[in-house]
Amino acid sequence: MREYVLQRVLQLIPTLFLISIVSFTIIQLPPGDYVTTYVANLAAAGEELSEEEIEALEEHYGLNQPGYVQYIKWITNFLQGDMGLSFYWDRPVNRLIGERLMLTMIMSFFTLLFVYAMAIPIGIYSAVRQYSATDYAFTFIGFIGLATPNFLLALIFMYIGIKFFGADAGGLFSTEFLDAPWSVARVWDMLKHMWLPVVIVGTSGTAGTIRVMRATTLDELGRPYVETARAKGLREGPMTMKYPVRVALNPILSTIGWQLPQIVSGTVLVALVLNLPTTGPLLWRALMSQDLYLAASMILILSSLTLIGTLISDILLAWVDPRIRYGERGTT
Amino acid sequence: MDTLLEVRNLQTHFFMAEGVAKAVDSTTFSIHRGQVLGVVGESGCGKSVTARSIMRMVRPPGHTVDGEILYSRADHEGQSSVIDLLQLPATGQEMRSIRGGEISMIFQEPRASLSPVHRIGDQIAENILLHQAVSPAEAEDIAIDMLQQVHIPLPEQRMGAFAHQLSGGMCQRVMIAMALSCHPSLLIADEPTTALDVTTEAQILELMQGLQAELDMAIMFITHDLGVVADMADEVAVMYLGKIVERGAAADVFRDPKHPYTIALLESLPRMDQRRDWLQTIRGVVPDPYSTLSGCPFHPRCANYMPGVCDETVPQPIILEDEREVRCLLYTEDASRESAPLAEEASHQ
Repeated sequence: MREYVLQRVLQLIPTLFLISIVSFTIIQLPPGDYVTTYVANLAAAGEELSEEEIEALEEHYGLNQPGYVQYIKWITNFLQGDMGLSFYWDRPVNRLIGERLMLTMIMSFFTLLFVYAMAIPIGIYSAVRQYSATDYAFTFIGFIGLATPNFLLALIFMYIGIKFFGADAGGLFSTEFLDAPWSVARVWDMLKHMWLPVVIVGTSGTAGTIRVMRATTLDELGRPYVETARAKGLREGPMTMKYPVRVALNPILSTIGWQLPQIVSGTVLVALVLNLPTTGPLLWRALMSQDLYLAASMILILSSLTLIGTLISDILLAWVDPRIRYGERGTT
Repeated sequence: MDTLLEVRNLQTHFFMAEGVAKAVDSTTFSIHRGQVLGVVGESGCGKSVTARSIMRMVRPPGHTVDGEILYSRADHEGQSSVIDLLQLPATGQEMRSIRGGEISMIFQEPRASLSPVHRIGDQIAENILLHQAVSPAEAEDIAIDMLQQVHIPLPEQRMGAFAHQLSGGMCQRVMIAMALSCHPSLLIADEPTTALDVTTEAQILELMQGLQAELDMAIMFITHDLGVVADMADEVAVMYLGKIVERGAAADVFRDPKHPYTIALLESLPRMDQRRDWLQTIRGVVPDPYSTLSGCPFHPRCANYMPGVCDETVPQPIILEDEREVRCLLYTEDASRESAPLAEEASHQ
């Protein structure tokens, strides 16, 4: 087991390296760079910049150097914890990302928690009581949840919130806590605001996971080992949880890693609609304005999180499913 | 002889959208203490459903709709009381204590029958803890002892193994160890060697015979392999379409089969002393389970079919000499005079 984990961690390094190159390159792929966008915007506003001024700007941002030099500079600084400067905000990327990244992770965590807390019990129930009225009801609700785009749900919730409760559904903080330093009251305020986006973002994941959980549990319920367990004289309920459900959880655990990027990227539209201070809208704006270092750093961080998520789910899977574990013998 | 289990008029039907499939249809037989009953028949004839009916493990849409399963239970003083298993709630406490404790079962696919994510030692110990008042440590010792009894090398180490790390034969040994860990009075073996290669099959059969004699338990041995039955069984029941068509002592049935179906089954065995270009088969196929054949269910395929009789009258069990029971109209009073010699002739071909 320890070897397996070590092996997987070592495999992360080249993957992350490749991702850093790819994310840096992709942002440079569209013609032009931040300065050309900036100059074009100024020109549109009727302001012309001289050649010297443009060159000075390129010099200032280091954009006159070849791509690989820019990359090497960026990645060396990145490894030392300096992610460079955001052109658009004219502030260090570190400061820009910091709190948003943390809020995004907190929200992702609660969303995952919500998805699993809802989907796993419902999925098991639907499988054990297949074709019952409750199963059909959950299936119906599930398909609606799966088919409704998140941002639409967000709009509906906002409408309901304003129309009937006079509450503002946007944001993660009340106005008085917006720029306040962290305190217990601020955390509590955040949690009070967070459940709505968590439910909205988690709805489609919940619906999908219910389907997966139901299908895998149904699959496992018909397996011979379930009959063996039943033939032992175990009670039906505990037997179901200990054997088929235990095995059916494996694919759920192994897809935690896939849920993370979905939640992170899936929140962009919802975050825009609900005005959430998460990474989504920031990344969106950075890509629009070709804000090189901000965009590349964010993509690299988000990809790393995804990889770490995948690693965690792989380790979990190896932990719960002995068939996955490498190199272990029956005698150990 | 001491009857352990008496099944009377068992009816287990499957209620499907296509109709009602009578998987087990008025089946009657008994198993004697310490004896081996071989149940043979083609796929889909109701052997496995009969076994699951006894265990009260038939899953919807299947339901046992009628019959009696009289189980003679020996208590500690050696007194026996008879209970009808069909009167017990299937998932109730009493049925659960019988299931796995007094009547246990092994299955066709040994590896798939073990949980892929639990250690085999834990799976055996679970069965022991469920039915015996022992501590977890004692249960583990009993489990190791059982693994030793089924000739698994290095039993202490194997306790921590998972099913995928063992061969099919080893998995079946583990299943046997688990099934016998509480010294059941009846072991139901549902085609336990079908998925194994012949060498392993021989080893498992030998093991089962040894343990059967040692532990003095009865075995209901379900198989479609007549050779295995001849080897293992004291008594044989031949099933066709949910009914037992012939029943008797194994030696008698093999030496002198009475029912045309049994005769045809034995005919279709390849034989070493005769070179044939073609394997003898029974003509036709097993009818689909929803069909409602009139008369004897075997009449469309029967070599001794009597038009006007077999397709109209449902044969009832007839007791012949040497306690043989046959469900065939050839042996009724009025038909026996002309047709019985036919069967005689067929059996000596």
